[in-house]
Amino acid sequence: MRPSSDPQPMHLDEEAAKHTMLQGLSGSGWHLCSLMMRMMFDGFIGRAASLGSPGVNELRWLAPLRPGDDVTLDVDVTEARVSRSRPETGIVTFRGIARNARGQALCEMVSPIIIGRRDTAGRG
Amino acid sequence: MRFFEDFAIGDRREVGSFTFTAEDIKRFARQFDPQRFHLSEEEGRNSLFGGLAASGWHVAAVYMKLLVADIQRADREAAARGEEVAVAGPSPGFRELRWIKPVLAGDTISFSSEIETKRTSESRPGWGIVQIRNRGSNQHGEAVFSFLGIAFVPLRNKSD
Repeated sequence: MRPSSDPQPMHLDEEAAKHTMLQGLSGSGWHLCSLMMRMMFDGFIGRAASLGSPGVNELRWLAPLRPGDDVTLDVDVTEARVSRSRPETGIVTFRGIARNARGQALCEMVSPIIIGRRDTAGRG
Repeated sequence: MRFFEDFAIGDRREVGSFTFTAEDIKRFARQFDPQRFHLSEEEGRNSLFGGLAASGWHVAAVYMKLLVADIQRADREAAARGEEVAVAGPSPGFRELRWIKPVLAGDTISFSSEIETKRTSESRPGWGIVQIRNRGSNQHGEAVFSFLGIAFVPLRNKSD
């Protein structure tokens, strides 16, 4: 994502950011969302029969993403069921938590992904 | 940015519109969401989306870009009228984000936002919390995107 996607002072200017609630330069929460998407792709979605996602049930930005942060994403499966409207697919709900190097949670997200079923030979 | 006192439940604002080109869709996808239906017209046609589709996170990022531009435009107008301009707080998150229909190459999405709830913050004196229903619809008038955003907004009257 380019900086032009969320050009607020807390994301652009160290000095101006000091005077905001986040008390220093922070990454846009939407930038972190996009990075979490990329980490999920690299971690498992790129090797899964993903057919897309209908949305995000809940997402919480818990602490600011700071310059230099190393981000780790842990993902759990919270539900897996066959789709009622498309029985050849399943709906797997994931909970992802992004943490910085100190283990502080930065973002928590719960999101379903539509995934092809092996035994119906869906694309994948 | 307006102050907390200036927001009324039901206030609706057109935020702006954006045309998603194939080139834009693939550029975002290569960086953040390189699933095949976001990278190739043919793979898109063979997917549930029925065509080259923008990553949902791309749609969300474009919404944010248009929202910030709209707030900055309104701030300049308010400042020109000599009004005090509030500095927006961060967002603690969102709920109920729905990618309702695919955003396909060439689609023009128009975004709007509507104030759904407002209350003063108990943990942060001087701040209110508003919940805003944000929506995107395509050139055919079909709803494609929606979420309930949450934002900290400063109070004009800090003693509230």
